[in-house]
Amino acid sequence: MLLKLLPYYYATKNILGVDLEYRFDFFLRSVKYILSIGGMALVWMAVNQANPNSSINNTDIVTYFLLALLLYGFSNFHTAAIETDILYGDLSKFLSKPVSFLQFHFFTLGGEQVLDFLIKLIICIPLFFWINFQLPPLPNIILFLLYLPLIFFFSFCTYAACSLLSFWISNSDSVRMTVLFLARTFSGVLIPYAFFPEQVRTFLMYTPFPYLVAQPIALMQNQISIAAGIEGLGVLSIWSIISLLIMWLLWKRGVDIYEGAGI
Amino acid sequence: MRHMLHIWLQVLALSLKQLIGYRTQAIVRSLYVLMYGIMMFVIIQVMFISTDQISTWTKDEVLLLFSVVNCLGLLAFFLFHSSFEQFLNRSLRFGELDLVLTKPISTRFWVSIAKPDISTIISILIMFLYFLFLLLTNSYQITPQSIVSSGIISLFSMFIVYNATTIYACSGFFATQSRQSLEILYKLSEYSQYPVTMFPYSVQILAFTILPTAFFGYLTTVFLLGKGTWQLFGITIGMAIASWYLSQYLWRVGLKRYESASR
Repeated sequence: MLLKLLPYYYATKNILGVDLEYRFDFFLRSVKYILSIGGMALVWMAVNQANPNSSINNTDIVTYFLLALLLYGFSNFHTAAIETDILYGDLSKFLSKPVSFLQFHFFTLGGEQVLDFLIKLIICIPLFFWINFQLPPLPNIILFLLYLPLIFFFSFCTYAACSLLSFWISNSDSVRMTVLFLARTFSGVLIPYAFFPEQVRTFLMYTPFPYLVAQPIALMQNQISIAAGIEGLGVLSIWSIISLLIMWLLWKRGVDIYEGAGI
Repeated sequence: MRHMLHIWLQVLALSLKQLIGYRTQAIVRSLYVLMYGIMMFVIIQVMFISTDQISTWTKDEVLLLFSVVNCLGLLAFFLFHSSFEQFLNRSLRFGELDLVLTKPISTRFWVSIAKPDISTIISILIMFLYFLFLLLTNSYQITPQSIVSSGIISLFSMFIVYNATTIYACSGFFATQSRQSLEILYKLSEYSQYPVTMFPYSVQILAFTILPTAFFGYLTTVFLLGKGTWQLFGITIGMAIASWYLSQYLWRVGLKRYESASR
């Protein structure tokens, strides 16, 4: 079993080597994400201050966005490499080798997001100390960590399913970006869930979006119980199975019609 | 000057021919802008759920700011931002700048116009139509003087944004790879869709200097709504002069460092 995973280990190591070769650029990428999420904390603090009836305090908003920054990479990444491999015929080399195309991209993208998470964690830890963040009980932290691989797995299956539409259309990135924008808007990474109206929050609980960012953050801020956290994990698992099935179906149908000629 | 204008028009004509060849790509590109616009629209709606004003700006004024920022931002992307991206991603790293240095034309001028993203024209049109829709359906206090002053400020702001893009792109002369530097500027420009006055004072200073987000459309909207002052006009002129000289200096220093060895 481990021997079968060895090619993916080397592929991931290779990708991480490429990322770290240009360390300044990699550092700037981390700065970019910090600015894009961190700046939203300032926006929502100003919105909060403008509302005299608000019961949210600014420290909670800062904590929210620091945690959102950590989670951002697991649900916001691009599977454009899958599209280019299909469109330009590079998929052929995977079909002739004992390396699964989708697993290759899963491990390489996953490795990048784990490295990204660790870099952001190093930056966020002093900030958590500075704002006096109180760690939640250990079960909450464990449950939060369990969310991370599931968030990545669901996001990969969903975006990869959109990218696999490249077997039929040449602009499948438009479908993928639409899903990405929906995830960014309704997962809580740009808008804290406390600011959504109650009816919208209730409706969104039937979608996978809140379980990508808002629910794990609520766990770490001790705003929901362990039972609710486990329930969220279960809901996200169901959505993950659905997106995995869709991805698998698209892959099977797509490979059947694939001609390897490129565009 | 006429020579430069002629070259620019030739480059535009060539890009237009390419656009006609890849029409679907242009339409798909405009869909991104539409989705992004919907995402920002949702954010602005949620911001004003519990309050009528944020930092003296009403929802209608923030929507106008959003449309102006996106019109000017897309125009900047079309005119020079995409060309500078090409410069950072390819010309500089693969020694393609050598050929440009042999031409009897300003290197900086050529780099900034070589690859206009003409597919954004559809997106600019969509945003402009939305801008007109807002003007017609809301009762803003717009006078002929405010239109003229905002037009002048727009020209200076676009010039400042051009210089800022050059300054950020010059990081490519000093690092092996720094693609993310322009991405950072692009991410920062997203914050220009929120009124600068809602941020803390220290951030406002940054918005008028190092991170010139105030010039991405905020000042244009301020003058359009008749809220502009002579101090803001003076700051714009000062920044235009300072940014021009700084960008020229960094460009000259960067070109002296350029070794043409390819990376």
